[in-house]
Amino acid sequence: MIASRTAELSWPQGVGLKALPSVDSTNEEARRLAEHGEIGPLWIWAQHQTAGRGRRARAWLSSSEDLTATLLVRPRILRPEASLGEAATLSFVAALALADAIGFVTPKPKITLKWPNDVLTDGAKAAGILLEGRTDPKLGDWVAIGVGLNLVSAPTENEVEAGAWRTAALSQYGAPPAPDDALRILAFFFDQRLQRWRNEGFAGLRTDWLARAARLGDAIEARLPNETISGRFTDVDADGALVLETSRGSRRIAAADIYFP
Amino acid sequence: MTKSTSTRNSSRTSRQDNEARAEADVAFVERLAQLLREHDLAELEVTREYGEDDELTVRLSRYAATAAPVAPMAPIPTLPSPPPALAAPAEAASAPAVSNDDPAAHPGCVTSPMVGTVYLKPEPGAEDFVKVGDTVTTGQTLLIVEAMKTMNHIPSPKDGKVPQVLVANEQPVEFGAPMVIIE
Repeated sequence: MIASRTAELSWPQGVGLKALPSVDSTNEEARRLAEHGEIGPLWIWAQHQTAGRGRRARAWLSSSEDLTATLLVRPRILRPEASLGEAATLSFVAALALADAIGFVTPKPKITLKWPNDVLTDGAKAAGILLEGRTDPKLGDWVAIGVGLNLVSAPTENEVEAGAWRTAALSQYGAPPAPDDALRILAFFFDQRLQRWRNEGFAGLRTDWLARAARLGDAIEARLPNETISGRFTDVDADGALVLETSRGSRRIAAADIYFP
Repeated sequence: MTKSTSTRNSSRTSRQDNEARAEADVAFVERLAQLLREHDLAELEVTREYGEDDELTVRLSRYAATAAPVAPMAPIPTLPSPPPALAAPAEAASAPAVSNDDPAAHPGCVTSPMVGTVYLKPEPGAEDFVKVGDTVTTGQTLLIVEAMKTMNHIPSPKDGKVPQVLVANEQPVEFGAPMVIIE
């Protein structure tokens, strides 16, 4: 059923695809290509990653039946008026596109977003996003948007670091698509969200993101390297920063790990 | 912390003129910075007209998170006798306050393009991207600023040496915050 619906989705116009049987990491491949002048948008898809990684060098574990791919973009070619900082809001593009794609694959789980770009299916992590880029006014800036989507396998509790989020795979909701179909679905929704960002920036995505935000209005915890901030999650501001109402007033947070106490 | 932005429109200038003007401009900016501190002003913007199509606009602001990014101060090659560094990374972390030896005024100052968290290392436990005393080349990664889970590698804008690193690992930074000096 998913296969026939997937066939209706066309590959986005003007977006390239580089498919590899194996690579160290699709984000690494994107970096190498960007440094050799690749303009993008280009999807880099690998059936197998030998050194898949997440944020701050955490390992990303996946099988060849899962999806690991990276979209390479040059934010200011897409959106010349974007500031260097605005490229960071591509995080929300990625989160929404991934949520759209999972929703297309299966209507079963409740899909929510944890600031800024964690996509949760029934509160568990079935996907991961890693954005790495270079802000460079002279040489041209680029962003590699890496996506790992657990189609059939998810690391067990023993395989992830202590305190890590509960994991899930889409297979628990029914037969998942094959990785190449999953990529087609993801590329389709990414392109739609990216068009929006291109025309309106984060302003065009903010409402949609907030509509899917987990724990909006609740007390949450933002862990920074040197500080933990507890407060009520009330908003995401125009720049994408998390807004917490704390006992000492409102705080805007641009970088933190979010936990639900 | 003082931030400065200067822009110039100039149609007719020879190389010698440029050098003389650069020195005058430095003195001008320094005097403005002095005024800013003496009168405890938050921001100061002055436009000087030298002639038709030839003007210098200087904007100085003290620790304003929403101020404009520091534009490259192209016409000013070096500041005369830069004062000794006071801001060690630890101090920068705890007290990013106004200082007389303002690193942001340094023409080789690399500032943060966004609000975020600084990482001096590519990954935990690794060596720093750059250390004080290192020689760097244009485009070499100096550090990472993370914002919205986007890891932004900040490259060196030029070849040079690193006399100062003004931020500590995992320190939060504001938009425009001075991070590294390259000279």
